[in-house]
Amino acid sequence: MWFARRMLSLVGALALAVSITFVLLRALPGDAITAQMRISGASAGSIAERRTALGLDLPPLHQYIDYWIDAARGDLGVSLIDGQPVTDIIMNQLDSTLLLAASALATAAAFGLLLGCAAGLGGFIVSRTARIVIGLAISVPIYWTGTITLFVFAAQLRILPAIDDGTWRGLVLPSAVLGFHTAGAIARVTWATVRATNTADFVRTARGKGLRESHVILSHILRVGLPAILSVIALQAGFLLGGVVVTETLFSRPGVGRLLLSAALGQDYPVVQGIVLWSAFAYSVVQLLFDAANWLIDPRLRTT
Amino acid sequence: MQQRKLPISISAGIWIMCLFGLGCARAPLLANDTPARHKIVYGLTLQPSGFDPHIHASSELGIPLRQVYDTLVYRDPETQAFVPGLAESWTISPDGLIYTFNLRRDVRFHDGTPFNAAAVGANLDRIVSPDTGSLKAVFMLGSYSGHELVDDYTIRLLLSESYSPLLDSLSQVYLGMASPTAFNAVSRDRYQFHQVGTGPFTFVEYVPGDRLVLRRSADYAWAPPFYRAALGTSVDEVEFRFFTESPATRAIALESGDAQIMGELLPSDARVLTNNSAIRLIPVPVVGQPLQFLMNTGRYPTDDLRVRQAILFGTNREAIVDAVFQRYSPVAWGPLSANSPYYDRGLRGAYAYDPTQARALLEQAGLTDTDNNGFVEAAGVEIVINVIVPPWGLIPEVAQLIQDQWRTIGLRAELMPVPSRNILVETVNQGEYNLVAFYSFGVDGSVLNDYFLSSGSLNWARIGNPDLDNWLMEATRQTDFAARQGLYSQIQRLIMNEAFILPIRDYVNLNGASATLDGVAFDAYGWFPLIPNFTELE
Repeated sequence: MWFARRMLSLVGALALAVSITFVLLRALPGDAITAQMRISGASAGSIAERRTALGLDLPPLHQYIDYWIDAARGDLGVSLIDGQPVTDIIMNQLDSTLLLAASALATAAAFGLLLGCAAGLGGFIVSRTARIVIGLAISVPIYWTGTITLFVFAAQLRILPAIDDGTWRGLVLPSAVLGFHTAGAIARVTWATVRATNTADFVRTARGKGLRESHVILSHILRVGLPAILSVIALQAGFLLGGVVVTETLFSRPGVGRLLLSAALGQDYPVVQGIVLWSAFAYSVVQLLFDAANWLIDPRLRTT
Repeated sequence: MQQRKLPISISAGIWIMCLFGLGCARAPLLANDTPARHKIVYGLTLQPSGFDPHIHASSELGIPLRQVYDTLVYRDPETQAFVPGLAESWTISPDGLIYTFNLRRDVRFHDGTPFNAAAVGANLDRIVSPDTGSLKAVFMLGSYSGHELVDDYTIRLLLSESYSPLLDSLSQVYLGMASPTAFNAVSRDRYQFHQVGTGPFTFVEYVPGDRLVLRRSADYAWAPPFYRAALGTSVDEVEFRFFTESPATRAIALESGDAQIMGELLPSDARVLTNNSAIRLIPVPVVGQPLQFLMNTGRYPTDDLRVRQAILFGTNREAIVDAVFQRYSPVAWGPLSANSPYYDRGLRGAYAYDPTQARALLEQAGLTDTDNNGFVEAAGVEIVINVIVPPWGLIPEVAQLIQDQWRTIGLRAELMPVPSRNILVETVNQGEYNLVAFYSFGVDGSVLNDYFLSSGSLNWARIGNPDLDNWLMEATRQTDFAARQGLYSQIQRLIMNEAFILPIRDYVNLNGASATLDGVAFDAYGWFPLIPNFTELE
């Protein structure tokens, strides 16, 4: 029952995401080919012909229904520019983005927990420093940090490449930068949770029993806060979707984020819709997984 | 509450998690069987939507593909004159309707397919086929109507009316000769991943958004005269990478050694790089139109010649070139760049900065500052000049400077930034503008047609001038170079007499290259490198 309800809301979310994108894209004037054809000196007649061939002159509602009929069959359409299947275009870029997103999320989780614990449990200096770093992670744009790290680590120190060189070295800077900013919200929640839990009776009891401090933090304080922290990590997966657009562009990496940017600017509707559909799906699946994990971790959820 | 320190074991654990996350990175992508001895990384600064030269339109695709394809004719990089390519010789019928090409007999595509007249015919058929959906190449063929195979190595291109830019088109990579075996083997959208030409480099792979790799061909024996023979130090593998959207990282990639050559550096970065002995700055003028603002003659107040002239006199182009382009670009005075073979020198210095003259012209046009607010009015209504500002080519910086300069002559400018080329075209369609920045590149004078013919697809100055129409059409039909030069001189003078455009600067591509890279040179169009001539200093 729970699963069926979740699946239904997943399908609803996908439909909503694609519908909004569909309307927004078409609310913008212009299309994928008209501008280029005019610049190439094409006559109004040949532009109209090409638009008809691509189905761009059909009423939007007609296009919308066609899109869903094809999508239901697993056909996300083809690029308006050269006819490449959208599924192929996205699949080509997927592994690179998944790798970046996964390593950034791992970095963010680790860094967020560390910063949150430091802010909530550390001494005066440690706590204050951690709070400043959390503030930076939340408020500074990725563009700024990214450019600074590129300048320092690639151009000046020359210890890490500025671009994706196909090895783990090329992944360090982008996942560190994206991870750092994704970590901000995780650290905030961790901080609040551990500070609240730190004064709870059972924690005092645990310390009173003479347990080692690391054991108290890991098994008592974090254990209780984990569901809340996991939820915010899951939410941050959404932040990652936006973050990869900037990070991939800045670090000259291939990926879905950069593809989205160029397809949106080029008004290649099927490609943009395909990416939105795919990211909404990925985001929903991540939420689902984290919910399931919470159910396993938090016994209180199982009893109700 | 007792403050407690974070135990070391926790932080150690977290760092191990971090390292584990990084350790999952994929293995090196390039499984290089025979590593190239002289491999370079070439930074591209646009992400074309695709790389099929017959379909896609980006000028950026020519940077790699110019190395993969030969064309029937070439332009000499120094003289800009046509020289033989895959065609040994050619003749044009007196009426300009038949172009006959005698082809080389010793050429094979990289996949072994022989190059002959049938292959040329197959390429032309592919380009004009509606199924191909060409966004540029087909329109470069002008009035081309079909072809005749005379014998195995002779082909005739037939035109419905005389179209003298045809040779210029045939010298460009968009009409490069591809192996019919290769493009017939895959669907039209797949050919860009499996390209086969006859050029000095073979196509290895294209991974969208990531890289495009070329390797030197060992069998290239039909080079045009300006390609130098391969040396032991010649570059033999090129990996093209994309440094798009963030111009600031281009100089960083050069400095870090991640790229050995890159174009479109920011002028400010170029200035800084001149202090770096490891990097050489190579500014290359690009032939065609300068950065220009087209002035809408169909909308108040730029429908008045005096207002347009006032705008020209009131814009300090020297100051713009100094501040925005760090003096790397020459000031432009007319609709063609100074390195165009059709450039009219007589226009140099036309409408040089003269704010007094500009104010006088505005006053003659009835625009005066009656309420002393510093800006002119007409019949009590404030005058606003709407300027459409695209995001590329430092045009936003130029527009802001112009807005500032016009305060001196009392003209108020309102900038209308647009995010992309598509939105620019749509904003122009709405017609609510006085100035719009747009320009095209090309050696042939016919680059002016789309902008200044009354029927032109980019006639955004809304011009309908019968003399201009006649001269542009005649120059397009006329095949005699001197006669065309004369016509284009008249055309440029008329355009500036009528003040249809505000030219700013000739386009200069600021390339940066590693100091260890020698022989860096570019073709007649300015965008496309002659990579066969690149060598690495040992």
